Amino acid sequence: MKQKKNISRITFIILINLVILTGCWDRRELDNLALVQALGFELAPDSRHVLVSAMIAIPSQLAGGQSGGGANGPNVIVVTKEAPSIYEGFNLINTSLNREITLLQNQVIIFGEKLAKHGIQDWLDHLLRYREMRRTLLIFVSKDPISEIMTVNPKLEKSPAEYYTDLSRLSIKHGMSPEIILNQLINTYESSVQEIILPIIGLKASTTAKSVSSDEKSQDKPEKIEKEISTMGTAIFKEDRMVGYIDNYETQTLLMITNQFREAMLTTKDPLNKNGKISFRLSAGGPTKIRYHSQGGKNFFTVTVNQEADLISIQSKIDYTKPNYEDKLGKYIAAQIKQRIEKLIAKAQQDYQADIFGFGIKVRNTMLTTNEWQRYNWRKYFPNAIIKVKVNVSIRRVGVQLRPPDPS
Amino acid sequence: MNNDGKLGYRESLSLLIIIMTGKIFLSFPRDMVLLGQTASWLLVILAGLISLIAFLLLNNLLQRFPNKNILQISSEIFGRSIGTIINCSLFLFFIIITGLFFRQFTESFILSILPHTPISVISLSFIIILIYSCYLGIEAISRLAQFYGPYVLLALIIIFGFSLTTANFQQLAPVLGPGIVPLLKESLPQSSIFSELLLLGIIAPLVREQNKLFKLGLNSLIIAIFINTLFTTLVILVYNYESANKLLFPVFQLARLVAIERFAQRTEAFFVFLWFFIAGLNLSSLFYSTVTSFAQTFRIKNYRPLIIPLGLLVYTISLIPNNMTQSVELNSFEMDNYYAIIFFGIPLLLWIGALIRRKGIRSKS
Repeated sequence: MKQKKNISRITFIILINLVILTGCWDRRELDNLALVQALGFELAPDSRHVLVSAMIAIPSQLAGGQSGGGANGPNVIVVTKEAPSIYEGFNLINTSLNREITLLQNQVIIFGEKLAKHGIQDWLDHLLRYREMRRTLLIFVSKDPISEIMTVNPKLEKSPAEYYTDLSRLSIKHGMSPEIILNQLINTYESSVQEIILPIIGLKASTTAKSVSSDEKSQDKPEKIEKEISTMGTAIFKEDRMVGYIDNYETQTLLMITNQFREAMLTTKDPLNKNGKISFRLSAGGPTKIRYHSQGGKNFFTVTVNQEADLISIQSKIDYTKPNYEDKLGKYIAAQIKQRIEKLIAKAQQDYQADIFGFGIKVRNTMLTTNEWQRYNWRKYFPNAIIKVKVNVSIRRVGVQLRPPDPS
Repeated sequence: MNNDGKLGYRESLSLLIIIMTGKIFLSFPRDMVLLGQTASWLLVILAGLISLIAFLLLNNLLQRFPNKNILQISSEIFGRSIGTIINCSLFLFFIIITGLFFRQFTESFILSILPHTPISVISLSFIIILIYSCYLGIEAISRLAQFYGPYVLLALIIIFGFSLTTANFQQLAPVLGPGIVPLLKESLPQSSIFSELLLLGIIAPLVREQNKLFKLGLNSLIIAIFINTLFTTLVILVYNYESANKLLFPVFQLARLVAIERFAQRTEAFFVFLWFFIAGLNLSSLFYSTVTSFAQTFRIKNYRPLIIPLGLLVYTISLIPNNMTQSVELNSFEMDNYYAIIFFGIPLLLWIGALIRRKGIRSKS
């Protein structure tokens, strides 16, 4: 009797589970999905619609053997459609593509430069509200048409989307482009203490590819110039509009102030011998400190940048490893960095009136209530702020050699 | 009630903590940020301090009337008719809070993993869990709470730890948020955050170690205040207050941000599992309170026949709000005053009643 009861119970549970656990409504088979790897938005020529470009992985190519990316043709297809909104663009793409577009694997979002200049406000909510969008997406601004950028095949990587993420991550090695994820973008956009910055990518005529296999390439497509993607500095926004950009080296300086700078290789003129050059590896010695005080309605800031330099090469025969020369060289480098920082700050204050450094954060820290801060309107005050820069550079290491080679 | 088992100290502690902190997965952090802006952590602490007073009143009552729950106490102090009215309001509190939380949890599942599934199916499968767990009784629920407690804590620590890498402490400025006065003003209705502590009033006679009742309530409240404050702060640190008050379920978004370089990304699926467990425990204990408060109000000895009808009622209440935003608004901004009144008012009323009518054991003796 008891056993019978148990059996009926178990059947009941199994039957219920059959109905509930299948998840029929949300079933998605992997072979029916088109995995978007990178997504680009550009302003359509009529300025009202967007051009949505989706870089979609070709699964058979990505999963394929070890034979390398370039040989079997592209691993991705790039589809571009004009649509009133991004997601409608997906539907339009699906009219010609047999798999359902999904953003589950998306890692990168690229804005066209024209759209960035027009203002990204209209498209930000697209990136936030839809549940497949993640706040960990990397954001770029592209100087060239996105469909062209996306069709460039990376040389070393199989998956082009990985190429973007790697390119962005490498900024910790050279500091030439900021790494901005969607969450940072939104936080900056909404906080009014700082203006948005985004890395710029663009196409450059390739310099490396020719030497690798120049014979084969020239026979296949003799006329087409090989192009490659490269980071080209930082786009500066004011509110939601791109107002200008700074180049790779200015970006390094910018990142030094915002504390994102890790290390970079730099070369400078020899202070004692005008013909020689000195190379060094600059790395962040300690966090950059910004001090703030206001007096009589004016804002004063003191930026203290602490960097360390490791010598890599000295062209002149001067032995900079001697303590007093070391000190001199440190001061020389510091002066040069200071000059660059001051130039950049002047550019931001006068040309763009955009606080891309986050000085506003320091001002906000002195406020007590949010109302007070909102009434203050930092954007108005930034161009007139007086910013002093102090740079300390200390030579820490000199490599594995003490004195430069000297013919006797 | 006699056929219910007895509860241990740790079991009831984990149950009370889970029931008070389960809401951090819902819109709770966002509501706090909306009201308290950068000082929302302060708001939670202030609300917690106010709840502490309510707890002291509740504790005083429970000490005066040993081995009685809050519903029995109210009918003993005020007699049958007035006692029934008070108990009815308690029952209404529990059924509404169960229904609205139920809706929010199902909505959060839809948002996080099952976007195309109709809400009725999720609700139905969830209500079956509630009904089943309620049949098993509070002892089973609390044991489960104790069993999952450490895992829940571990997952919370993981979310917390990995989110800290993206945290920016400067986002806590301006320190006072909307200012001291608005904060104090908001903290009173927001003591409803901890209003689920009334569950202690219901399970008190079932706790095995009666002398630890005060410690139990106090510890659970303090830990709950701590966890709720921590996660509210974390939300401001990771998103600043302007963007945090626009998020629907901020901690889910936090879990989506968790990434260990490139090795472990998109880990939120693990957290959603945990979330299911918390939702199950939270809702089943709330549902248990609903059922027992109804049974006690109308002096029904065995509460089990009431489970299915009340389950249907909860299911229906959960479908009353037209949409997700309405259910969030209703729970957080329209009902919170009533929750606070019940949470604060009923113990106060009973305490005054007991003093005037000289009922129960004097606490001093």
